Amino acid sequence: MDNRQMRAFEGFAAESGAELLRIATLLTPDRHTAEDVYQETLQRLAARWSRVDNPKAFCRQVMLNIIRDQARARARRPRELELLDGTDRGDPRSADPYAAVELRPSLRAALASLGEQQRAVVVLRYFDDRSEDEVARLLGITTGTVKSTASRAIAHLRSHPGLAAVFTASDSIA
Amino acid sequence: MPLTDEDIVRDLLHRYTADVHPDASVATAVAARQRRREIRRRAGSAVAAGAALGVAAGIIAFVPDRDTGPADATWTAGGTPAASARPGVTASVPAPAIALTAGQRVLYQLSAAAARQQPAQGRYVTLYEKEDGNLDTNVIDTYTGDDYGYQEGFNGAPSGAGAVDKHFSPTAAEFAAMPLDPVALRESLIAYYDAQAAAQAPKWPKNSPETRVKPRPTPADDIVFSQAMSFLWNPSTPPALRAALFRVLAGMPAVQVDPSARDMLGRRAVQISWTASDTTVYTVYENPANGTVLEQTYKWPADMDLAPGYDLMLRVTRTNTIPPDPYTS
Repeated sequence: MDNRQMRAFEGFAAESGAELLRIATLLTPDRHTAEDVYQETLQRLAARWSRVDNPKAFCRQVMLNIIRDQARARARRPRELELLDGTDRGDPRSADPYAAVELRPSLRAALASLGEQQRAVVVLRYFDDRSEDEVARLLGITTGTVKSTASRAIAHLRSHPGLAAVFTASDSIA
Repeated sequence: MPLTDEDIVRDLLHRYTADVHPDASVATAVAARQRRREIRRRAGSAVAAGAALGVAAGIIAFVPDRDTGPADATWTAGGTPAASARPGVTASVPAPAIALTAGQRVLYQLSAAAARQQPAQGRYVTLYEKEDGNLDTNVIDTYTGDDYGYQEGFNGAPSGAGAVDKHFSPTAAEFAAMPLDPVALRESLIAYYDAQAAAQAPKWPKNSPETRVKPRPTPADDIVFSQAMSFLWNPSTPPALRAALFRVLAGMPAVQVDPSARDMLGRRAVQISWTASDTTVYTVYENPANGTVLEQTYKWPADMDLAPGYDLMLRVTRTNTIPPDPYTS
């Protein structure tokens, strides 16, 4: 990696880093793990920088692979105690920043209660705005599975105790 | 207008992460680390291709006399300059400047100390390092040259999955096939670099702006020092080859040697420095008792706007089974 490539690499990280770290934050159990995944993703990108045509797509795929590997490693270990009770009723859509902050534990608990694939579909589909076909390709599943998984995941989030108030308080349609 | 459940989820996810911003220094540190790994990797993964190239060109020779030279040898001028394949660059072995005699003596003493060591046993070499403040562990498989890299996570959290770098280091067999004569070894290091540089050159499309810019050739001495630095850092480098590398460095007039230096931990060290043509300053701190590495530092050119980096060697172990990730809880 010469000087010019370093500049380009840092430019990419400055432009796309926040989005990548946010995806990692939504897909991992905690902020520290997300930062580690982000750093590991950048390291793998740096190692292939001169040969990668689409760095963002490369990072997205690498990140999913790392998170999947970590989730499987975690599944082989004893479950850790969940310290959050999920009873927080703050509203993250409120203009009040404190209310938004207070609901985070509930949202984190709700995301954690999703299956690995459900969580990935929700994040890629509704945060990263990937099409159903793109999500299918990224996760190695069919478009039909993406649709059904997304539907079940939304229903699960809607019924989660920590988030139910948000959905019912909104004038939402299913 | 009523919101759909999807809209609510979308809104929740964006608000949840609105204040998440990466530390810009992460990308800079990753880029700097990659640059260092490429310096080391050049010396490692190029060995197979480079050795084949060297044999074909007739420049690699096994030298029966593997003694390391007298510890108190003084260098005499007037040797025959070695042929160099790089135009405009004169190979400096074995015609060094007389002014460096003191430095050469120190390097010969290091060479002798390294040669006295017994080759270590055990398939896996584990290096516990501190790299720019972060704990870092590399496990090198000496059979395959693969490197398993582990880093301590943020704030001491468990690290992520260890990345495997294929053929990062020469294998034990490749090390054993390397020449120990300084002239042949020097030429080999250059041949390895050229082979690896060709293999790793970016594949730019034809007529792209990048193909019109011809990079300036790297001076031979820059190549030799950085390659030697890589092998000296690698604990799986056999003592005899380590000894030969010090003798190669003794033939480079611009190498700076301080025999009474200390590393960051205050350990006694021989400091060997090289200022490359791009003004990068490479410094190696060697243990005077056995010629192994204690620390390496990198001072990058000013236009790179990078903080100086360091790799501090804390401990080296060898085992016959692969050690687990030390940072996984």
